[in-house]
Amino acid sequence: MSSTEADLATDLARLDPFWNPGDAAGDTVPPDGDPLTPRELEILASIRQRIASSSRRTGRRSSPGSARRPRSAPRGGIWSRLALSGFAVAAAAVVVAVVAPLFAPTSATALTPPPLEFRPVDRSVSEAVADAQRLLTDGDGPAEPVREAEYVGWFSQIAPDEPAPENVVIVPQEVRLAWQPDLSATQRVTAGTPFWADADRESALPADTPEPGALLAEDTFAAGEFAVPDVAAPGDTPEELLSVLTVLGAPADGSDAVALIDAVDALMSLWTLTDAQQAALLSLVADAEGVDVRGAATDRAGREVLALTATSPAYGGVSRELLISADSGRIVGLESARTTPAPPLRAGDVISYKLWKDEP
Amino acid sequence: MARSADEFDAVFVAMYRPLLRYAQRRLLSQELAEFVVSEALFEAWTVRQRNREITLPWLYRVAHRKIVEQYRHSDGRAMLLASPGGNGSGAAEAVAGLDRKALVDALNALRSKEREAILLTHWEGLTPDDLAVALGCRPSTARRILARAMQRVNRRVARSSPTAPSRPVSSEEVGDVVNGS
Repeated sequence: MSSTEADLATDLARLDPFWNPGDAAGDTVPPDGDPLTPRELEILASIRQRIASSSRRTGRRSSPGSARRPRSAPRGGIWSRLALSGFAVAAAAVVVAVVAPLFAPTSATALTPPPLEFRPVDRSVSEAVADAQRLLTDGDGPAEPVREAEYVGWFSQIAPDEPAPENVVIVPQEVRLAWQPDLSATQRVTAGTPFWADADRESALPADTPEPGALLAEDTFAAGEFAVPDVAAPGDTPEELLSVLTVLGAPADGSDAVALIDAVDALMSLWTLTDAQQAALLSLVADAEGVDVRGAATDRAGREVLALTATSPAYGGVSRELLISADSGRIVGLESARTTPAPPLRAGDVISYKLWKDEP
Repeated sequence: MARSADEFDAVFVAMYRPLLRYAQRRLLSQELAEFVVSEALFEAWTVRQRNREITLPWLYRVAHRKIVEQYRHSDGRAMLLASPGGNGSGAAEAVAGLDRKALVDALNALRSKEREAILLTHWEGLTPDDLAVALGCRPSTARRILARAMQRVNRRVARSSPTAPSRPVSSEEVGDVVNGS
């Protein structure tokens, strides 16, 4: 190793937050060999309880990709249509881990769903948020935040530097989560209607592709088993919500829009929020750095939305589009896309996607 | 092979603190780090316990995936790294003459696996063989990924700070790898 490389190695090691024992980060982890702290014993007990409960649930767990028939028929309405139909733009794509490895990687074709088509709108960020907040003052959202979340989600699991899979089959995943203050919970993941990522491909899907409605995973957690960052219901002021979002990874000053939006995603993946809380979230997003109006669009559920877009120096190469319902003002979707190439992904490729319901 | 509660306790005692440090170095919140580590240990024990030994490098790999899941839409490149400066805690002395932002940018510009290769080597102290387990590749591949990453960081830093010596920075200079601040 040259002296330069040795210097780099030394300084990289000194970057370690635990380099200096006096650092606050270092103080939080006791030295190896010391007895477990009360907090560590609490965590150990919690995990042991989950393990014990998990072993008692033999037979109730469904492996991802199971071809088992769903236990109940899908519900009606737009949500069912979204999850089960080949909806417009054919995009909500879930590369289910059990499906993708079935395909031998050869040359890459379409790997991701096509992006939404945005139309320019003559609104600033503050104007767009104000429009949404006006709708929210007369909305139909829940009176109190609910410990439930329902969404159709997808994210690309294609890793940089690895061979791109060919003939990717995309299976949307519909997630239904309900949890309680005692940290019991149920989560059910079912398959949507699968389709080829390559829209031009017309051949039949592989025989082992999950059927629409197939139960991919079902988990039941006994009291104390479902871990969440904060069990208390969030407040409805921007300050109270920012406090919750900070636990979920947003910067404390709310400045980084991408980190903020990712924290909003995490929050909405645990809670169904009130309209007042939705309005407060939009205020936070509007005040963050790096936000712009992307435009109007028809989302993958056929809903009219207005998109705010965010980039961040900390999240180089990706953008987030926050989709706000033009009917209700609620946040109903989130998309992520590459802004720079990350082979095999190209600039403009959608890398993740999530839709929330916009109706009670 | 059935595993007893005592065996899990032994795994927890041996692995929890290093895993927590791993997570705290990459996340902003201790609560979140504890959450991720609990999830990783639970999954490691219940899902994969049957046919493999639970080792720390392998747990780093499980925890990495949990961290990425936390960010939901991340492709792995947007993982936040905890910083002494960012957390308001004390930091090492700055290395004179080197642009902190340049090193932050250089590290953030790396691909996820390259960045992890550097951090696992220089923060977690993994050997090349252990690095391979943590990255899920062959040892020769891990060595190549690490070497390439180090070269890229050095080049980027040198390019962005042409008047600075080509040696890298201290933790003070790098400081806010988290959040790009």
